[in-house]
Amino acid sequence: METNNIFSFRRFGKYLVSDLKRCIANFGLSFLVISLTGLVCYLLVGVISYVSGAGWVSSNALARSLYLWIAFAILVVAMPNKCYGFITDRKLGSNWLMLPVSTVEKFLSMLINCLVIIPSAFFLCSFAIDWLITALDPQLHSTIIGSGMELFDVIVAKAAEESEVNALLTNFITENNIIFSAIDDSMILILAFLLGAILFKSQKATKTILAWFGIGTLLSIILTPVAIMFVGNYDLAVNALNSGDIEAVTTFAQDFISSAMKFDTIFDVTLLLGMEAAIFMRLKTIKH
Amino acid sequence: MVSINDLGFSYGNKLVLKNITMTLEEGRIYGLLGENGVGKTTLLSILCGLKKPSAGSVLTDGRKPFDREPALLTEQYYLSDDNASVHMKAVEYAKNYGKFWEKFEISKFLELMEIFETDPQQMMDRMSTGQLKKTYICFALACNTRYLYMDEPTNGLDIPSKAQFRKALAKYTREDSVVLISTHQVRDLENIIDPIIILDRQDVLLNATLQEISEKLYFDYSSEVKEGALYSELIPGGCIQVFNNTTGQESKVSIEALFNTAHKHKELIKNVFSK
Repeated sequence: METNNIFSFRRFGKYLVSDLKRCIANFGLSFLVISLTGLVCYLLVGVISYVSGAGWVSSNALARSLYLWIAFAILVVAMPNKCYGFITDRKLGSNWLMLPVSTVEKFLSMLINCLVIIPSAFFLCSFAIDWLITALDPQLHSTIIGSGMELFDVIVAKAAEESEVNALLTNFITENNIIFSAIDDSMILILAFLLGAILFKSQKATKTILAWFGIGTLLSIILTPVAIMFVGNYDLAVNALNSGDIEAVTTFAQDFISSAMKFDTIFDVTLLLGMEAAIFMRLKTIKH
Repeated sequence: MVSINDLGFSYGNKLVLKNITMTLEEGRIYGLLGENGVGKTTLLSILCGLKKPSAGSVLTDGRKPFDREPALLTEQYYLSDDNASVHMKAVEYAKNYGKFWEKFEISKFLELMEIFETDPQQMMDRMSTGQLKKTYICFALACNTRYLYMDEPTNGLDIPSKAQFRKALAKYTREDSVVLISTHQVRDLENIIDPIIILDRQDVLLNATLQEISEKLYFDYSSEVKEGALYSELIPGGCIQVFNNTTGQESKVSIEALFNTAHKHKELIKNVFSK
């Protein structure tokens, strides 16, 4: 039977499992430690406050969500390098390149592991630990997720009470927007560190951060005029504000948010696709 | 079949391979010899697709190795001189990665590990260099590939393992396979490799079978020193001398003496074997 050189479901399935096993072997222990960061921070705060005589102080949902984001930031920086940084190593990388699996399959498996499986497992573990902490600690009444939703509702209600403009603006910012934006931005960051892991031979995370700042500065210089064009006419807004025409301000604000969100989506999708293309090309052309 | 046409490769401005043209045919175990730095490992890396030629072309069964297509990758294995030590038992490694080579046989891997007296349950990152090398040799042979490229396979092997390697290579390679072994340890592989390829700086000095070599060169093992030898060397109990074979007399080829002769008379050897 003719071998499919681009994609075969059977081969991909086998490779995905084998690749995930390798990721677990390389990153499993670190993953466990990172996933337990929230619990460790919670215990640390409690123990320190207890020892200092203030009694047991339980970290509230806001503090615990901060621990969660710190842990996630560590995961984003460490995971791509631990899972795929070996590709630039001559010995390990050569073995990997010579594996009879197509570049498309290796690339897709890399994306699935780094963008879906490992982050999902991390959030699942973290939320489960948070749920457990909340269930066992009588001082706590709400999990991170529960508190986040409550907080969102409070902000929206408060904004609506304050002014008509605020109420209109909050209509654009839904829970879905926030979740989508967080996922989107996280994916971009993971891909950036993944690209750094397979591009640089040493000091991968540091070089990635430096390159990120460098490219970010360059992009902001290039894209600021484009963004202004996209977002709308400031003069109209200033005139509307000066004249005290609430309707005109509201219209401008609606247009502004809608355009800004469109621009952000286009920019993020372009960035995602660009980085994916760069990762694929690197895998296709890497030499040892 | 592997066709190499006008192959060129350079590291930056440093030219390593230039105008290399040769064909590697099926059913043969080629010995690739050359001084340090002539580009033996580079040539192997290009043949297996780890490097891209700077000029010319390499085609294996009509495919470019650098495209790294599964159809070709499943038919080839590259055994590097420097093997990766992974945190895995040898048998787990074989099971986990062997399944990607269509003709891989785990039973053959275990059989070979037994021949090489290496424990398949041992963690690879706790193995000695020799044990790790033997594990990778077993894996390479168990893949049953048509193209097998080996870079210094006997480096780091103890004396019994070298004999086991020769036996395993003769017994476990497919009849239609092309095996290319780069080595400095010619005595380890004396009775295995045929044809011989001698690579020089940016050139191929010789690519011939032992039969062709013995037709063109005469290897004299007598104790009497004769005149007109291209190369002579004292060995215990006599000397070895290499002559142009003008009488058509047959002799046993000493690969080490052949290499030294080629090294000493590059142009002459190139001319003799290019005819």
